[in-house]
Amino acid sequence: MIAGLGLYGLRDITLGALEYLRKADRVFLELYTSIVPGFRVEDLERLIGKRVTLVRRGDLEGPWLRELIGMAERELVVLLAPGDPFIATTHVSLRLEAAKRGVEVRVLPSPSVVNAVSASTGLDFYKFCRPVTIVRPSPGYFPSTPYRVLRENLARGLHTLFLLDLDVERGYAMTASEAVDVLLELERREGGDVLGEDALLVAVARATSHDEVVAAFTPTQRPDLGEPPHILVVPGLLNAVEAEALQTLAGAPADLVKRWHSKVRALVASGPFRQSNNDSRCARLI
Amino acid sequence: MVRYKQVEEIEKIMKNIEQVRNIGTLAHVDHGKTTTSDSLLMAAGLLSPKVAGKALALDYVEIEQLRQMTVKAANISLYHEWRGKPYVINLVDTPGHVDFTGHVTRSLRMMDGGLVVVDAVEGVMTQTETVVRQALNEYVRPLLFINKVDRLIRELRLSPREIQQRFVEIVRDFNTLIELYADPEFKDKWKVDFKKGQVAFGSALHKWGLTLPIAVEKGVKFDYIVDAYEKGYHEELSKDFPLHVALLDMIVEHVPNPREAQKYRIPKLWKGDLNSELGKAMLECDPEGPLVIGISKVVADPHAGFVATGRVFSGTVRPGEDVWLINARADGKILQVSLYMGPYREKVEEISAGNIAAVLGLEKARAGETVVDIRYKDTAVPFERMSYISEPVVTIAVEPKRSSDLPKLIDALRKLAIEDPTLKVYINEETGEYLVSGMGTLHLEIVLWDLKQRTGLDIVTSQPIVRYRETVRKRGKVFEGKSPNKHNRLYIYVEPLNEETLKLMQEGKVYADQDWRERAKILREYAGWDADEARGIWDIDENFNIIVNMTTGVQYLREVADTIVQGFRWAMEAGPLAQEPVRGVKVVLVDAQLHEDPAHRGPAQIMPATKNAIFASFMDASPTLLEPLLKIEVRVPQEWVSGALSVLNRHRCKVVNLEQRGMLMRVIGEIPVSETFNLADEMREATQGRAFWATEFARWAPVPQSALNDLVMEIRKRKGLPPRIPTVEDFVSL
Ligand SMILES: Nc1nc2c(ncn2[C@@H]2O[C@H](COP(=O)(O)OP(=O)(O)O)[C@@H](O)[C@H]2O)c(=O)[nH]1
Ligand SMILES: [Mg+2]
Repeated sequence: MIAGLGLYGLRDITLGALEYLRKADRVFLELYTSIVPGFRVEDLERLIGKRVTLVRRGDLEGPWLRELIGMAERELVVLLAPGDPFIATTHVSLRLEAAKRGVEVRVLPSPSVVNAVSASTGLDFYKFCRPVTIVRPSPGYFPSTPYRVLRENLARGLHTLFLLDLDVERGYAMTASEAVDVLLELERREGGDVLGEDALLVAVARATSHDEVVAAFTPTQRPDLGEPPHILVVPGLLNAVEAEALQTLAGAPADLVKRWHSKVRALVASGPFRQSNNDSRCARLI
Repeated sequence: MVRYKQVEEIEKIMKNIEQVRNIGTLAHVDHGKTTTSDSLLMAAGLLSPKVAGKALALDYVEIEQLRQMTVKAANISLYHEWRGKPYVINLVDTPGHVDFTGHVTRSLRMMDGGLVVVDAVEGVMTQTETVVRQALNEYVRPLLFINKVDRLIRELRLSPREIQQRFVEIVRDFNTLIELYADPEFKDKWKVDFKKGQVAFGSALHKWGLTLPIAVEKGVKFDYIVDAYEKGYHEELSKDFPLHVALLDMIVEHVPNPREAQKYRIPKLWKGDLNSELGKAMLECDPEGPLVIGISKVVADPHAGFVATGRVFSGTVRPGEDVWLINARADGKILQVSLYMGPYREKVEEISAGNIAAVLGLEKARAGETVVDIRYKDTAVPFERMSYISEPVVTIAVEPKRSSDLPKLIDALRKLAIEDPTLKVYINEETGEYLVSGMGTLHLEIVLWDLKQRTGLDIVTSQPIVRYRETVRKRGKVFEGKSPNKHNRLYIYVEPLNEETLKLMQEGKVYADQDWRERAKILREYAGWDADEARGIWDIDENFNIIVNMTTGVQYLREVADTIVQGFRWAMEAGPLAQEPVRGVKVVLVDAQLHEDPAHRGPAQIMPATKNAIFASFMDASPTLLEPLLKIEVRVPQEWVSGALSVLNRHRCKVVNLEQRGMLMRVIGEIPVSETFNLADEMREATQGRAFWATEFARWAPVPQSALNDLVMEIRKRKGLPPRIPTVEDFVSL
């Protein structure tokens, strides 16, 4: 049984999941793939009336995985993961390994920032394209994929959701502001020019929580967002509803929205997808 | 006093490059290199005659005086007048023990001529051969000094005829080496001829020396010299025929000046475009050209910081100049410029092309660095890598007696490793031990002595441990390496690199940051590489392993290429058998699948995937250990030869040659380093101390198959590894 924790505290644990958690012989919890604000293991233990064991990346990605599956052969084992357990994680390998051993795995989905982003920003779910993680550059690893994805998405006029790098076990979580720095550096390296002064960026901090912050800004600005988790969005073409939503929900100045929209339009018009920009949506995420 | 006047005088002459020579002394250990250098030093007026005889001024490190062996190259400037003209001779002292070939090779880069000192009694020995070969590799012209002639007279009681006969033999042996190892262009030009004054003979101890032209000019015959010794007036010889005159005359006349030498040396030693501004300036040794310095030595000075010594190949070096360090990829500023007088540096305002300079301020410079004028930052090509013939083979663990002294020890170790790139210092992560690897037990003994001197600490050391290498003997199958999250897959096989490739790497002709087209061409032509493979090389590590990318059209591969290389290096640092370094293996990446999102294909995922695939194929490729073999040469009187041979036999020594040389038997063989730790005692016992022997690194060879398992288990046990040899399955996870 694999279930999601959702986005905030214990709020998003579904009734279905709760039932299983109460019945479970063992409950394991990984907290390395995302941060859940307001969540405390003690609260969960009190809620379900049993001990919860924290597992690390090294456990799930190492030989311990076999032990876990072995336990699941005999008992009801629940593994909890932040957000939705199959979005922006690699846990499918766990399912496959279990299947190989003939162990049945049931999955209970939960809210993820991927669906929350539409709620928080008002940007149209249908217009998000391929999401990508901005990773913290390390010696020898500075992937340019995030910037390339941004350019491709913009050429189609679509929004880009950036997930931000995280190393919970080392206490690191990238902020939206660092993410913008990385994008700007990538733009410099790749010789692009989409993130100019009039670029419209939207950051969401602690999506859907009671102290959620949604802010529109330009690459030279750094709004105060508070603690991670953050995400960053670069919108594509904006329809009237989206334009209004960004002004109302993210405090975007009307003229910035307008200027960015025209810029994206120009990008689409000069890009490889200009003829068919209505039906060239890329495969969607959800 | 005299010295200060000399500095100015020398500076003036140094500007006129026709009046400059760069030389060094080279010799088999104990043939008299230091004594000779010392005699030259004295003649240059930089030390008083009283000091020179005893102090062996070049051996200013005390241990070298003890061992009669020069360990570190020091530089001095000498002064000599020849045919009415003053000359400056930059003398680079080089180590006499071939355990430190790294030092020798580096100092060869600075000189255009080498004075090869040969003991008249012992003749041309293995290390003579080694140093002559190395000199010729670097296009340094060797000249011959037959030393210790007094021994021929006093110990062997040879007649003048027999002495002459002995000289002819030595010259013949010497010229054979030149025939064997010189570039075809110089085979004939560089053979030495008695009549032309290209051979000197004498006694460094008694400070006299002659060449044939000088002897003719002065009308002196051998009888006179023999007589001088027999009648006890040999002290006179040094007054009538001072050694330095014979040697320096010979050097000035027969070693080309730096400008002449750079004309043929630059095209061989430097790989850049000879028609570029830099190329032309170096060919011309142009003091007005852009600055280029080849650094051959870096020493930590307790007062001045790091002192980098090197040869100015073009331009003029002055304090305040901004420079670019090509290998370090860093800029720097020259703070101070000096020339060497004896072991001391003398601050000067500038040193021009063709001379040897010491500079302060280049903290990032290491031996082997090429320093250029900052304006040539983007276009300059470094000197061909100096070829290191030897690799570290013995390790000891060091720790201070008081653990609170550890930082001091670490600091000193760090500095030593900078000064001596043949020394490797690292930490054993499991035990926290500080390990030092060197070229031989002798090398490490000297390092230890140096450490104690510098830090004043009591240092505790472990027994020396032989460093093995891991390698494969056939091609392994392609294996899949999975990342821990299972979403990245690399497909890799390994195979042994051929001898030709290894040789090219050892000689520094094939290396990591070489122009890939040039490298591919060399590998195709000289090592039989397939064109695509040769072009696909991603990296070459210090232990001569190569990773090749043979994939096509793998998405995102470019983004993780560096990480795969890091994984390759990680795997090569400690192989699967016993975590010894891997050597001589080609790792070929044939295919890969990478996760869509960069968060799931970071180093923590890709590096293990790389290592796993490499190790799985490695275990399938008939893995083995290589052990370091030394070439050993033993000279022993006939009656003791069987004793010596039985000692050698007991120690897995393969005798390759046994011959009569004068009154001695000469045994040449190959012996594993692991068998040499007690050799000195046993040899002394078996021959009543009559055997004289020397070793130098020969090659790596597979350990006997029958001993492989036990040896692997022994190393694993020592390192605290699980007492089981891993299998393929250990690396193809889940
Ligand atoms: N009899 C004799 N002994 C010499 C002569 N030159 C050097 N030696 C001795 O040979 C030994 C080794 O000399 P050294 O200069 O340290 O040799 P290196 O190892 O080549 O530097 C010392 O004991 C010297 O005194 C010489 O011309 N005649
Ligand atoms: Mg010496």
